[in-house]
Amino acid sequence: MEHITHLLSDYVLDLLPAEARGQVERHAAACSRCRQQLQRERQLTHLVRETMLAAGHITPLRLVQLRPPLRQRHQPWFTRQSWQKGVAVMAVCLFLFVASLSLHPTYNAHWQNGAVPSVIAATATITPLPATATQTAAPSPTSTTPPQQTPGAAATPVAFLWPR
Amino acid sequence: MPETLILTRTPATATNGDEFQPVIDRCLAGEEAAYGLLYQRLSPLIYRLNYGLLQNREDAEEVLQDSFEYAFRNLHRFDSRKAAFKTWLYQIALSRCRNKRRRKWLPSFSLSQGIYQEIADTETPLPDETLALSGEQKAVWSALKQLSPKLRETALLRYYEGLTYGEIGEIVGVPAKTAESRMRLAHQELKKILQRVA
Repeated sequence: MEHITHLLSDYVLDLLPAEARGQVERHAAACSRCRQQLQRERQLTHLVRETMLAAGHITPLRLVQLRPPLRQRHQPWFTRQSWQKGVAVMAVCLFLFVASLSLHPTYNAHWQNGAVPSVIAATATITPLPATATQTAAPSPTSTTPPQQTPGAAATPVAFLWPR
Repeated sequence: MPETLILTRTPATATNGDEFQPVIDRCLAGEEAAYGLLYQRLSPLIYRLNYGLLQNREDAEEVLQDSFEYAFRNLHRFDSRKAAFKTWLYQIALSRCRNKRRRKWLPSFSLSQGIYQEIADTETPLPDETLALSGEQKAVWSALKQLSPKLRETALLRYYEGLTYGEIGEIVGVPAKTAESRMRLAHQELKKILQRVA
């Protein structure tokens, strides 16, 4: 009887096709030597499993201690969805584009040529109270001195948004 | 009353109905207890795999924490059509074990040793954790330590987890045939080492 020891490892490791498995089982039923060898192969598998179970034992309490914190509900901006990151990047790009336009010398020169006012001012108009309006005399048509400006009569620049 | 997780054993390959999918859906719906259930069910498996691969308790615990933290944070990225949840989690843990081993061994790595050969010091006494093991188990533990990392990964996933070669290949990142040949090599290597010890 020809022994099949070369097939036993593969049999235990489930590496044989069904036909060869049947051949091993039939032979092992009739051959004590191959049966013992097969038993040793199986023992190794069980021994590794038992060793892993014994060595890798960990108490439930320790597992609870090791449990990581749950997913953060309020995620920081850099971990958010990709579309949000895209919007943020676009906003930064837009800001940089506008800022670069304002600092660009040719663009500034174009503004200074009179196409648009070189100084943009925010103005505020205050309507004078009726009593104050009656006290202020209207300038005489013959008077050469310019009329004195009242605080509310003319536009007053309050802020320069685009200084030259 | 504590909530219990009733799970049945199903193949870990990519399936339409992953055994953990209902729990994952609850996690994604914002139920914090569901995260606890996932952790409770899977953390012992992941810890044992980490410990078997790294053979160091602190490292195994650190990798366990890292793995679950990553998995929970990226749970929305898990796709049950591509892989089973357990397979995905094994992949995460295995990747972190590899990184840990690389970082640990790289500074003291010798060029005379092979690229994938770890420093197998059989003279150093085994750590205290293995004192509870029997003589046979200590021999097996030491033999596992002497296997190359690639063979050890395959051997642990097969012997301990009982995964199919297709699943092992998916986790390790190789074709199923490669996983089969690695398993054959690991088995022969273990037998050789244990015969030498005996």
